[in-house]
Amino acid sequence: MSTSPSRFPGLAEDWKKIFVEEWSPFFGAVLLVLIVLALMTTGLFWGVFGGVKYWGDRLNAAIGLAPLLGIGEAKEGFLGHRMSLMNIMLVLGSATAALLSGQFQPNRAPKLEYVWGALGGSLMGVGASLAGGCTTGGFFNPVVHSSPAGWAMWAGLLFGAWVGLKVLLWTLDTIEWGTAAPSPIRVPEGVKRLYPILGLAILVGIVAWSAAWWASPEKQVASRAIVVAAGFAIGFVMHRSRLCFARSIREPFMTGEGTMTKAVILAMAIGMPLAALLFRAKVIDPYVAIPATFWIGSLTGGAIFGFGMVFAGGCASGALWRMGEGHAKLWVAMLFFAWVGSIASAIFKKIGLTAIDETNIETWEVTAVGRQAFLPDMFGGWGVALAIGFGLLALWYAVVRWNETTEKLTVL
Amino acid sequence: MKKALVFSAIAIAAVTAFATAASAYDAEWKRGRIYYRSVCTSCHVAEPIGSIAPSTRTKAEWAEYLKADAHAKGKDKVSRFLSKAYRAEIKATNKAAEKFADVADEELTADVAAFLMRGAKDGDEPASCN
Repeated sequence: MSTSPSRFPGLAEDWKKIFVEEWSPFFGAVLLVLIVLALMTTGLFWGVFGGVKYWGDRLNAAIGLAPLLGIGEAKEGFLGHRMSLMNIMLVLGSATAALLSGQFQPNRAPKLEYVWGALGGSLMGVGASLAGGCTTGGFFNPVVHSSPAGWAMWAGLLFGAWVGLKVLLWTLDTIEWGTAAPSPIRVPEGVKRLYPILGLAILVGIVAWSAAWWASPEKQVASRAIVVAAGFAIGFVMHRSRLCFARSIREPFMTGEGTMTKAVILAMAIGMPLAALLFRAKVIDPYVAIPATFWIGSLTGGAIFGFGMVFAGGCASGALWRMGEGHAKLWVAMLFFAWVGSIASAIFKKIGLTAIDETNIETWEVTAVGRQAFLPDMFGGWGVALAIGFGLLALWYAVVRWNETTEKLTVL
Repeated sequence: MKKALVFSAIAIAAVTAFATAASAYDAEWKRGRIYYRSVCTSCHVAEPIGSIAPSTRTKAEWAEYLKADAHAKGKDKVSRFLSKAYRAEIKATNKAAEKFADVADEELTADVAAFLMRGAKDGDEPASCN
């Protein structure tokens, strides 16, 4: 920023602290869960895969595969579809944070990394289709919503990431093709100096956009204003704190380090009881964000997704914010995540695996790979439900903390 | 970490206050969904007209449809198919009608309306028929 430190030393220091220096992942986790809860107070919830699948559906429609797969015509545009809009805003939020901090950098990867991005993204698409969501919609949301589906996916993710890391290590020893790093993309210094101004311009533009939609007499457009602001804020926070669900699952197996895991645990520990208050007050129905995949779909989908995200280099939300930072590999991973996710969802639905059982007359949805499960309904109250949730979080924390000092679970 | 804890305390206080102040909604859209699927859709599928997905109409159109209370172009009333009397007629062959046999007409109508609003073209979760 061109602000002179000698004339505005305090402002320059604040600017650096907020927009340039990395935030603590714990701070980021708390901010993230606050945004998620704020969304819930308006009857909305955070989701990623729904938007990614929508992109894949549109891609399949464009290449003529939609009729074959039974994918219907889009009822909404890219900015009208709630989750698609939220994802786009997440990328923009991250790009803005990267520009403001001067850390935006178009980044090419070695050829083999693109292959891993395509493979990992494809597996993530298959896994998310089975689990009814990615690490956000299949794991984080259900855990915060007190659904055991989130914990089943968590178990699958841990297993998949562990196997994935083992295989990735094996490839490092055996595959030499495409490992040479390409020459870096050089951005002229003059352009780099414009980054903060460009970031500020996007930020102002987003605020104006959100305000304009908020003032719309159409209720749906007004509600999309919240999505614009929330998606942007999520991207911004995730970039600044480098918050990453994939890292929270993978890192203890990789280096033993558990900071990101503990940050995610903190987010869920705050989110669960607060979400419970919202559910009890009937501000939002918990079932809206619980996939009908407990437990087979969540567990197997989690394992496939966990394996894939190790190769892709990020989960869904992590891939989105890294796309905003300029990583070409994550764009490739996202393309395949969306495309294969759409194909897999259509096929699984067609063969009856994930199709909703329309003859079921219970208030929860049922599919061939599981059901919607909400712990308070299963155990007749919040006491047991919260005890299970906090018990599992405590167990996860204890194991990660133990592994930080012993490194017994690391595969490197 | 300290900052995060302070923030957490503020967050807990804010959400608690919001949750306490929030008002409850009455209609159960999930019950409406079951009835719509098991009674409305299952019958429509058997008739030449076919199933009618909630997402084929906007919220305003559904509200207008329910207000007009005209089924099959006015040959019948929509409210008849939501009534206890109708549920009693079909409960021997329809599980949902049997399950909700004793639900008050106004309640079930509100439930179905809530599902239709939610699943409408411009609703929170546009719903199609599988």
